[in-house]
Amino acid sequence: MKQNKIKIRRGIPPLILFLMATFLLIAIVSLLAPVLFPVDLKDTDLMLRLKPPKFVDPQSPYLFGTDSLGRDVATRLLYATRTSLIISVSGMLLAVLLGLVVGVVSGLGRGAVDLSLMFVTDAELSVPTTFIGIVCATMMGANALTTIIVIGVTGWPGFARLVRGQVMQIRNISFIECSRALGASKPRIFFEHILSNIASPLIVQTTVSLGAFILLESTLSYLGLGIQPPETSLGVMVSEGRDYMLQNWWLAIIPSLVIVVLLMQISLVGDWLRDRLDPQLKSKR
Amino acid sequence: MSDAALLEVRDVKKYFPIKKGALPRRQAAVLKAVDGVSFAVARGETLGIIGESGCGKSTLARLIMGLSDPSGGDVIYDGSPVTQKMPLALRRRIQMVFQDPYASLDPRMSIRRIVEEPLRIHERLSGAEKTGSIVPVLEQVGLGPDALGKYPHEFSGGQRQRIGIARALVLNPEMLICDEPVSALDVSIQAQVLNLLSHLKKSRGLTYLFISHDISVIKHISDRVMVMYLGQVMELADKKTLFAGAAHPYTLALISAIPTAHTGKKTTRIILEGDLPSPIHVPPGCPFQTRCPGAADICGKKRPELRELSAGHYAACHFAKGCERI
Amino acid sequence: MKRYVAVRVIKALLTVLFVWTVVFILSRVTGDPVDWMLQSGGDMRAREQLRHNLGLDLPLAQQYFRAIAGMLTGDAGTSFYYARPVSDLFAERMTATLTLGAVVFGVTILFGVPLGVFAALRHNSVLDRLTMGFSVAGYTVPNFVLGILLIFIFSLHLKLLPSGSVGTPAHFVLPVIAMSVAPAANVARLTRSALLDVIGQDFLECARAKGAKESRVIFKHALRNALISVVTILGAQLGYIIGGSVVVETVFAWPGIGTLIVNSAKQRDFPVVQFGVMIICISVTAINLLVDLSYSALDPRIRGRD
Repeated sequence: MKQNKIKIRRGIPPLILFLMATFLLIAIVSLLAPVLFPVDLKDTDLMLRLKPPKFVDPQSPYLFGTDSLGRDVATRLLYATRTSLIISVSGMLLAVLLGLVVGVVSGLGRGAVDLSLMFVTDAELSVPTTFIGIVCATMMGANALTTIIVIGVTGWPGFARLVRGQVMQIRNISFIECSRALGASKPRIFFEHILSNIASPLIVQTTVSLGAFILLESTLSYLGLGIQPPETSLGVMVSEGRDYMLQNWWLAIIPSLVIVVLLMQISLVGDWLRDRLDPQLKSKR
Repeated sequence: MSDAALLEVRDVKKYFPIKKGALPRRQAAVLKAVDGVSFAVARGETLGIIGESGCGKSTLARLIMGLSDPSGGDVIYDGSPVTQKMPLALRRRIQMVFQDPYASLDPRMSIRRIVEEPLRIHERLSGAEKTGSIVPVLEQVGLGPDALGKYPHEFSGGQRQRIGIARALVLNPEMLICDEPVSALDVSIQAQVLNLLSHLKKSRGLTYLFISHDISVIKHISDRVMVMYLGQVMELADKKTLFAGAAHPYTLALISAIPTAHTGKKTTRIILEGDLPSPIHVPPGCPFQTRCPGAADICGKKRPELRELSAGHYAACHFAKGCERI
Repeated sequence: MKRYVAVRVIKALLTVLFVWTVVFILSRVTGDPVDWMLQSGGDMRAREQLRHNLGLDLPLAQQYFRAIAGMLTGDAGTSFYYARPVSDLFAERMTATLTLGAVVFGVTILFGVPLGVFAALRHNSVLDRLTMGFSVAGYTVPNFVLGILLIFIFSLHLKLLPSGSVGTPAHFVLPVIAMSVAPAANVARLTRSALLDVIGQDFLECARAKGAKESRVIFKHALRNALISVVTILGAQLGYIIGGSVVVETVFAWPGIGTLIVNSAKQRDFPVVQFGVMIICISVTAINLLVDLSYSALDPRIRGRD
């Protein structure tokens, strides 16, 4: 009985393993797309426009057919996934980095930094993330960099709050005092003690918010306020396919499904990670 | 005080401002955690510091370790001032054993990484050299080399405290500050750890500053004893003098609380009325007046000086000579 | 209590001012609006004239205060793209957005709260599992994807409902579904866990021990205590609904302020976007303020405190 319990705690459930494996597969194949399927996204061929996919016409040479400009949808899908993932992950790294810095500073410093952090977080919460994206796209122009910045700007307060709370919890624990008494420098204390002790909740939060960032990226690009054609991302593909839904429904539905699959993989793995690494957060969701 | 002192504390004060309200925050009161404490520790001796929780013992330890800077006065270690910015070469000579063996070891680090930490900060050694210096120390505290790869949660409280002691010893310090090193442990384990500390002191020629709220522990380990109350020194004497002829009513009350084995002899236990007053509202005059069984008018008006009653025996009480009447 | 209200109100005002300032600085730092308006370049004199008309030749501080004063008096400048007063553009579209938002909020409460309550009462039952599954769908299916799927199924294939624009009540069905699934799922999940927290507490056992009927225990004691959390949850969803409205309005070509803001953003028509964001920010802040205050009115522990 006891052994059984340990097994459950240690092992990864098959469903989670499957989700992780498929996510990694999608990520790796799409990241390698320029190597595996080198094409120029600007190349169009109007003679080949709107060819049917294999599941409509088994004779068709195109797995998912071609789009309104005669481009292979399956290849574009890989490039789109690649762009969406790269933008979301870059934005996430920016958010984590900003959040870590501000969180540690306000967690160790308290006082004015802390008050301003709380104020800015509250202020950001009063503007829905989509609107922050809209404002930035208007002011800075709609492109990949803007989207990354939007993700970073909307994402960091969550990380900063988490890190701040964790740092406040551990900063007075005596192993930190002990390192100080030994003469350890602040960066050393941060890297040796603080970072390793806040890693678990940080990983959980990072995973869960990656889903939110992918959602934000695809929403902005769907609205035409993210990455611009001929570059493509999942939201752009949905938006392009929308106009052809009556006859060529797959043009919009396939990229939509990819978004749903990615979000589902990430959110289920994130929930599992939360339960696994961070039992005290279990009931909060 | 003597010239041979290794550690000298001169009229040290540590005040914490208590702030209230949102912006602007105004200073509402001052907490005097340590208020004019002076003493010296000679090389090779053990000075025990006793007092109730909140009397400023731990703040004093933090000042001596250079973890915070005093609001007034000086801490001098072997001729050099101790501050937060003191050089590493000075810092490595004083090490500390912490109270809570569960909080003082980073749960994410292996024992090897924990005990090596001082070496990583102070010396540049190869992996093998580091192992070479920590294994003998671990053996001295009674742990085998198999402990190296394990993590703190795999050890009991007593073993964890041994690991904490090993970490304090790897740099070969001259002095150890022990801040309640056994108060978090079971009574049966306390004796083992105390014996280990006594043994290490002899074999390594260490000097101890030993802080505890437990008079029995202090009696067991100290050469000299300092009694603190609300951030001030009440009495300071060598152990024999203090336990045979304490001059301060607070010391007498602490000593009377030691359970005795020989029940035939009648001992009167002095029970102090009331709680320790908050260090924010220390009464003028003698800090102990609110709970002192022999308090008189003068105690509410004048703060008693720390007077030398006989050679090396100091007490801060207006009636130090006449407290037989209690 | 008075002090509490005052502090909250001041904080809300500061928040709005802060957001306004950030938007203002962003709009001035990131480029010259004249460049965006005169894409082709234009000669120097035309540029200067435009600059003067827009008040862009004034010192920054003066521009800042003029803009605030303009907002307060309802004069939010002129749209570059539509060449009409911004406030008129919003006034025309406000009704469509508010109607849609109100219906969505109603649907969210009507479905979310009962679903959460029943899931909590029948903890671990099939209904409970279904609710949790529904809530996963709520945060993994983006609202624009849901909107497109709905159009595909109900408009294009089954030809049951219109895919866009306004007119009849039938036009409401798809946008309302696309917009309310996520907030309703959120409300259901959070109501469920709020109620489960309350159900686990001692005073319910105490009520049962007194011999109170189970229905009375649930409705009088458990629900009343969970109500406080539910109000907060609903308040948070309003912000979410406002955020979602931009996207869903675009999907269904709903002639509301969401569509207006998105189109203006594409044209980099910043007076419109600026005004739109401020309206959103003010409404969300006002909602949060109301939630905070109603929270304190509902919870005697906060009510009694000063």
